[in-house]
Amino acid sequence: MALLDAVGIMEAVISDLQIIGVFDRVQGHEPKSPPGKGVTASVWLDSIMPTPADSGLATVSIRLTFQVRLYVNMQRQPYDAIETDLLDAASQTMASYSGDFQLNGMIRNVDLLGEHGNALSAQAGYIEQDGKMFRVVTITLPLIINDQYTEVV
Amino acid sequence: MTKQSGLGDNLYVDGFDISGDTNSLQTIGAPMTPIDMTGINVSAHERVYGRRDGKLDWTSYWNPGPAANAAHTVLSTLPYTDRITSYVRGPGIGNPMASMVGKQINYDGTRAQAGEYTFKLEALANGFGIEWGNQLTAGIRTDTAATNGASWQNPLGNLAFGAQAYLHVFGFTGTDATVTIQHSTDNATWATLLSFTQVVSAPGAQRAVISNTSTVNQWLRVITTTTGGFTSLQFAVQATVNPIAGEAF
Repeated sequence: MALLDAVGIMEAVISDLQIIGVFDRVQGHEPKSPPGKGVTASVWLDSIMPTPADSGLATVSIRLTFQVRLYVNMQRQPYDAIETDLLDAASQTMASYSGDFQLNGMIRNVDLLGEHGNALSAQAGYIEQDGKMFRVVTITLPLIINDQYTEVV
Repeated sequence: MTKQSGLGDNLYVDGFDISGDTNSLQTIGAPMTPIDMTGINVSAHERVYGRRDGKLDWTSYWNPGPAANAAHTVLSTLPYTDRITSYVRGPGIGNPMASMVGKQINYDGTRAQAGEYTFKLEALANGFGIEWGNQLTAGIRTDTAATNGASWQNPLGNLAFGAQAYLHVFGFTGTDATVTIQHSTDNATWATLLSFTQVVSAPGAQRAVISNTSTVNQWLRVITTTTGGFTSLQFAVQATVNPIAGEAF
């Protein structure tokens, strides 16, 4: 049974963000300092859990969830453009993963419709980082991957 | 042995291992079709056993292949001929296994709203009931030449009520191979109990029997032999040793 290609999957997740062309920077980690100007996308691991409904009799399939957070400085002007820029970036991000739901063959599918838990979804909010306030959209990106573990007594 | 879960199980159909494409088994059934013979002079039902039967129901995933043992490749053919289906309760010599000669009745797909695509399968016994027995190979065994396998001791000891056996052949490279079950009273001196029909290709599955008055000694093992040679044989064997006299199918 092939081990999870952690690097390959992360690169595929990031690649689908980069090709959209709306982000000023795409990071494969939660920001260590306040993101710069423009729209920033950051990706990090959220959870790994077995999915009984996708597992075979002696194999375990998993649901691997990433968080993809989009940042815009809340003081950026014009203020009205903050909401529309974030909405556009979030929408294009979700469209990108829907349009490549196997991440170029790396996984079984992005859980677009919630086969096993929360579906691909986005939640808007605010984050303060090092004294600066950011308007953010956090996208939950659940990935279903077949047959990652073998059950042996 | 203590209580166990069903983790690590296998499901074989006609020499195909479809375990990875199987979501769950709903029924591994041996209904005995009771016949009601209640007299008018009693207050409760009186029943006798009718015909044996067997039933296997399971849920499969959509897997179109290209592997030969992909669920859709194996199950979508819906053959008119019998299929041998076996449920393996955790691969291991001596572990329980249930096998059945029967007809695959359906291959019914459901595409759920959220995208899941699964299939319901039902197999009904034909000619024999479902038979619980014990694995004489640890799930799938691979021999690269004629081999004497590890033995298993029947906790019921030496018996004289015959046996039935099932063989699944998953892969074969070579000219021929014969799978034989041997028995022994002392785990040292062995004699043939029964042999399956010679294997010349794969995949496939067989059922073999000896009469229900035959002696079956407590130690059992599976050996492979050949005349023309082989370099790889992947197979699994179940033996059902009858514990009482008069078993009939």
